[in-house]
Amino acid sequence: MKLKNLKFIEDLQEKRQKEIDSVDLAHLSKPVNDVETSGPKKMKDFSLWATWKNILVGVIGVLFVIFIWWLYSFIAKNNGQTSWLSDPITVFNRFTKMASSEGSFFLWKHLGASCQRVLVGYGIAILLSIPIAFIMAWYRPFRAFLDPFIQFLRCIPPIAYVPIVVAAFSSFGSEAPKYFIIFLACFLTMTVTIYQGVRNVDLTLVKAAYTFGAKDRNLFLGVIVPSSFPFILTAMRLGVGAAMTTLVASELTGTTYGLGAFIQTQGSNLEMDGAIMGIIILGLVGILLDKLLLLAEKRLTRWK
Amino acid sequence: MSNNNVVIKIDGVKKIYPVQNGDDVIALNGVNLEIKKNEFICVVGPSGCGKTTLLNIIAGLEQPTEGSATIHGRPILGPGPDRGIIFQQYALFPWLTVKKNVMYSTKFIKHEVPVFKKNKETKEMEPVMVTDENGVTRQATKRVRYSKVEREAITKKYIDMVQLNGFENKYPKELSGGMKQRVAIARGYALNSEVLLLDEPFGALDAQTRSQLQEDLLKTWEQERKTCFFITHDVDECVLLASRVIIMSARPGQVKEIINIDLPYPRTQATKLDPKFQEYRNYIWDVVYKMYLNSSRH
Repeated sequence: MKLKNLKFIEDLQEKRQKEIDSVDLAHLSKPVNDVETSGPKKMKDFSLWATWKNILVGVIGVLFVIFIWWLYSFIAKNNGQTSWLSDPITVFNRFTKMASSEGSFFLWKHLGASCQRVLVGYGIAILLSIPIAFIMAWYRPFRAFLDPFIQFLRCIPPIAYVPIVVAAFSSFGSEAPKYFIIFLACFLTMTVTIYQGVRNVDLTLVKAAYTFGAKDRNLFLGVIVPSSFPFILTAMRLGVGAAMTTLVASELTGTTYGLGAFIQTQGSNLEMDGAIMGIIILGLVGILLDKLLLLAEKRLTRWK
Repeated sequence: MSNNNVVIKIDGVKKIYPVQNGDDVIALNGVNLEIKKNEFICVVGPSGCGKTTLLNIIAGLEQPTEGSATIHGRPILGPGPDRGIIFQQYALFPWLTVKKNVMYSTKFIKHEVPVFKKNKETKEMEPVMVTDENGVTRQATKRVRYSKVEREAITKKYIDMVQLNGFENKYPKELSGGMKQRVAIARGYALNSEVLLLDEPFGALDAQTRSQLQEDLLKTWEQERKTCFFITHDVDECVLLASRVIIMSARPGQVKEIINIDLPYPRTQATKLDPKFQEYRNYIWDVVYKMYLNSSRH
């Protein structure tokens, strides 16, 4: 059976070789040269107008998507079908109502609770992932010990281990499991990224530092940390993403306040305007945090 | 010539790189070499002749499998500030500016300063005297790192020397290849090491920049002589720079011939027109090229 299969492959290869051999290179038509017709390449425009143009395109894009959303909900409503999808105006009205004096208390409470969870979980992840990633890159046994756990946990979506985490950590207070879930998601992403950064350190730089008389401890602060610094910043941006996406999962159980909880309850009460509003606020907070980190990155790694 | 003149001594050095399932690579086989003070040594040879391995052994980045490498009679056990290296890939710290890059090289080295002590009665600084085992009384000294001001002054001197003033606050990514290598040369000189090891420093540069930097290096070296160990595969370059050329042969790496270049310093690119230069160049070229032919026949 096996031999027969091999024979089949050999036949195919032979047939292909015959086809290749049969190509008459001397009479093959030449490639078409149309370089002259395509004028000089346009240089990239970095002027202020170009920046504004990009922002304008972004705004038009957002408005367009909102328009499609409105159109879809409008058609659905006018067809007489029962549609639970809220249109943009309802969502906006809901937002003004929530942002007004009597509702803003709840809005801030939700936002505050979520931000606190993200900051605590993410903060602990930063504090732990940096040293652990460095030690992993430095000491082989430590890496061998930790790597299976990290690779194992990385494949599991946080929502899957929410009940276990709640069962394990709720004795430390109702917030503990939420912190832990966000921490774990951030920690895994960040450790892997920073670890790669430390492994990527240019060895010639290390050699150079040694010839200047640097000792191992000087090397750490003088070479390893600065050269993996861009990776730390990238890890921090990835960490924000992980924190925001895990937030909703962390608020799945037993909490009144929090954007994730708010989206959940609004959704299950079929109040879609509230749910959509929550999602939009969540996304905006994510964008804001990412932009802040991007700004820091530009400032701190000007040398790159 | 007294033996004191020898700075680095390579004695019967053999270096073998073990290879998994295959014959081990013999990079160096019984290399003997004496490098004297303020010599400019150039090593030429076909690729794979162990030039870089030899440099790494002198630098202390690698240890010989057999034989010994010593500096002033002390065995070389690791890299140190008495042997500065200039790498082909510049090895500048990309997160530091030109000035900070040069300054970094002087961060860890120490120098000896006389010790003073404040007299409690006169409130004046007085030298502290010590008597050594021979009964000679002299002022005590201590080893300290350079102060920041001193380091800035050293940095300024060498940045001026390689003509990079005005670029002190630029990052390496903003510089051309030639300028980067100038920073590396300034850094190597600021370290004020006794020996300067150069591993094909101009190999990645274009012909014009290379000629320019050869002249700059010569000028710098003539202003402030130090022992240089320069690796290249450019025959013209080695004759132009070296006071002694070492030709190595490949597989296994061995010293094939040592040639004294009897051309007076200061040298410039115009030295290349000297008939004696041509003679040296043709001779070395012949030896290296023959080796190349022999190796490619196998």
